[in-house]
Amino acid sequence: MDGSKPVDLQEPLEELARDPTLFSHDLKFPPADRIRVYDDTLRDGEQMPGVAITPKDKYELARMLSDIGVHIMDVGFPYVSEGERETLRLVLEGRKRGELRPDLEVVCMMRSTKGDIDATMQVIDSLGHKRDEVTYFVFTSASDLHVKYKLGKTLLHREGIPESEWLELPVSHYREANLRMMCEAIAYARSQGATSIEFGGEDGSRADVDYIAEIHREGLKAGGTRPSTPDTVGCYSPYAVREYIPKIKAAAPDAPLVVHFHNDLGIGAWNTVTALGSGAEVFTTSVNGIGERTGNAPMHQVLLQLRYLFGIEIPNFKYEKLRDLARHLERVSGIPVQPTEPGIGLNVFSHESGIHTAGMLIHPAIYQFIPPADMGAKVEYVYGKHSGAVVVEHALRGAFSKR
Amino acid sequence: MKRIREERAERADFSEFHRNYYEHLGHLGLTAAEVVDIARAISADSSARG
Repeated sequence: MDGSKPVDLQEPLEELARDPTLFSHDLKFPPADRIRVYDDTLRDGEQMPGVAITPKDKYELARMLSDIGVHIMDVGFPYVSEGERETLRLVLEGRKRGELRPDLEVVCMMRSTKGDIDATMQVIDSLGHKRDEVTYFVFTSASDLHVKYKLGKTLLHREGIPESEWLELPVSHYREANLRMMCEAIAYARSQGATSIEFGGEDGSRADVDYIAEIHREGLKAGGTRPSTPDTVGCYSPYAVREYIPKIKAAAPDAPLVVHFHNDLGIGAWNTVTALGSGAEVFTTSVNGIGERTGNAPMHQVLLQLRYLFGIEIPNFKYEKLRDLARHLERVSGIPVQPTEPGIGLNVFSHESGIHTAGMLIHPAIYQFIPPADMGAKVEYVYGKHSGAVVVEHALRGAFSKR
Repeated sequence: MKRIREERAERADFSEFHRNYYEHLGHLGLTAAEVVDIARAISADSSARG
């Protein structure tokens, strides 16, 4: 051993250090090739306060997301602005030209109204594309708080009931009206040429699970193809996910279930992983975790937890490009990630302190369990207040051996 | 408002901010090259003192 190369371990690493995937749990994950990575960066990610990404930059992100292995991509609300329309145009054209994968599913968002559906379809028509080239995400709300107080007046107007009755009518009235509104919107989208329709209710994590189950059952009957349940305010705990997601899945066992988590308590990724082990097959994320408030479940965190704690690798996903993707989004959004961010932060594979660097120079597994090459990175040594003699000697040997 | 924000995004360039951020992080510690320079300076100083 000359000090410049790691020592050859004489025993298998698994015998020397417990494999992190070895622990008991009751999660049941779908086969890896059925898990779908659904990127929300271009829509929910951009909803981060202050962030605005140009259509050109969104297209470059879409190209990188397609290349890295994302299966589904939300491009937002194409009818709300010229920029959103241009993004959809660039994405659909890019997919047609082969710059984006042909199997990349493109999702457009809209409220459960005929007006929003018509406006979305008019954009698609005007761009010269077929209406069935995108998925229509027709959403409403699910919690009683949202259904009565956010949507209440809209629901009354739809049914010709005076606004003066808003606060007096019981929640049950709004639940029924809300379900009718969503199902009519889904059926209308179907009648107008949509073949792939995602649907669901906002604020699912604070809604009655039986009502979510009803939304999902009835939405499928109306012509929807994929139910989605979001933790809009980021209040789910992994225990709640474990309790509620199986019940939600049981309402529509044959349809893929989308889950969407926010990170208000710093557990968006863990909730996502728990949901995948509890019946969901499709998970939404954003690059670098950008998004409303504390952001969305960060894509890199979900993927790393699945890979390194459960041994689940998404087929053909290029994990080694996650760091480049992170740097690119930082440049176009103006929002940098912290250096300690798992997997993608600057310091993830950096070491300074004397004890750690001395260990790393014996063998990198001593102080890291994620191989840097998995993430397209390498070990870095930083010299400073905490450095020890061994790493200083390593630096000097490295410099003088090159002479 | 939407249009103004989108126009502002068209003109935005965060590349210098991004470079400065990573340069800042990179300069929090010393590099191996700086360690070697320090060693050379100490060695030269020792030689000069005989």
